[in-house]
Amino acid sequence: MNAEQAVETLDLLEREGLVAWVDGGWGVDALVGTQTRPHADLDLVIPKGAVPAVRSLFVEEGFEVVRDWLPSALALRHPDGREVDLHPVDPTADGGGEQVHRDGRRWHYDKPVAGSIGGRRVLCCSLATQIRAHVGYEPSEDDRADMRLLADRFGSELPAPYGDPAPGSVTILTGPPGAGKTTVARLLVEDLPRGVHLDADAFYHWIRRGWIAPWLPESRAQNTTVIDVIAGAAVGYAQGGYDVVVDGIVGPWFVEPFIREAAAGRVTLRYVVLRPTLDVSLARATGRGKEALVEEAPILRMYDEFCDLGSYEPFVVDTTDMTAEDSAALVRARVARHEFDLPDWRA
Amino acid sequence: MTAVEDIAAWVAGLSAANLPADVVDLCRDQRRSVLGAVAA
Repeated sequence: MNAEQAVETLDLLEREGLVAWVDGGWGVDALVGTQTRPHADLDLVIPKGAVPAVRSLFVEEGFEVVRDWLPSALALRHPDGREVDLHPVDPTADGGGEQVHRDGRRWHYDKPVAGSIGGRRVLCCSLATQIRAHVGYEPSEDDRADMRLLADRFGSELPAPYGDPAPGSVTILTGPPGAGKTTVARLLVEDLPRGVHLDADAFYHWIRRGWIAPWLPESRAQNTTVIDVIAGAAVGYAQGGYDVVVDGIVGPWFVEPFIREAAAGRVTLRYVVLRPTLDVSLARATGRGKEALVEEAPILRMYDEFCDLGSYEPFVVDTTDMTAEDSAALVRARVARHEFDLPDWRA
Repeated sequence: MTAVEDIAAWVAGLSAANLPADVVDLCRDQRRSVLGAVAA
């Protein structure tokens, strides 16, 4: 549907006394006042009561119904290739309208605004309506292009999954006690131009009263709070442009707060589990100084929790026969290949 | 097929070109009236 055909279609409706609002891709181009890409169809918002008359008008013009999704949409195509997609609405007091989806949900169109197609003044969906209409599903390349266009033209901040990623990243480096997390984290951060080594244990140690050993069953609420705080801090650093390595016990059961924070902050998130054999883990952990956890029972229990990680097994690095330097090098290489990336908020 | 089905099939196959011009004009007026009422 080219600009001339779009204008002809709008003229046809206006001759019959109806001013439709332009939605969809043509709506975006109408907002910016110029055609930026080809459009397969012309999306039009019309009052619900006008649907039978508009349908009759298009049929008389030679269009045929190709998709009847009423009450939410009705698509018609002309043998010459023109296609219109009608979006019926109940007019609302604010000058906008409400579309009823097929599942019964209602979608609100704000009051339309002035735009132009091919130099002709048209009514089109507002910037806010367009941005709202583009979230909650997997966007196409056209959707991404449309949103970038609106952001560039109007300076609007785009919601996920359209905004630019934050400049930093968060890498959760975890594993059982004695896995080598702290040493490897230190090596990873040393290599970064702007790096943060976030020691998760410190967040537990800062609790001065009411602290519960985090490996005890009754510590669950405390641990949930602490993990939420760590996730927030890590993402905060990443949004400031730092690459953050979170060093601590963060089993898959505690990854969700990081995924949530990273998605909200548009931050790249990685998950790495260092897991040597039990013998090596135990020997390293119990060989530390008095400050560290050297009791075998909690170490064994935590090791057990990292033994079968299900869908997180691909994130495991076996460091049994590796030096810390080798482990760090391997982690760096696999990070570069995106092998540790967690579900991408941009996807 | 019953007579009613025959008639229904015939009606369903009609287009504006098959109708008398004055009938088509009346239909268009009716359509404009509906759209005018919606727009009002």
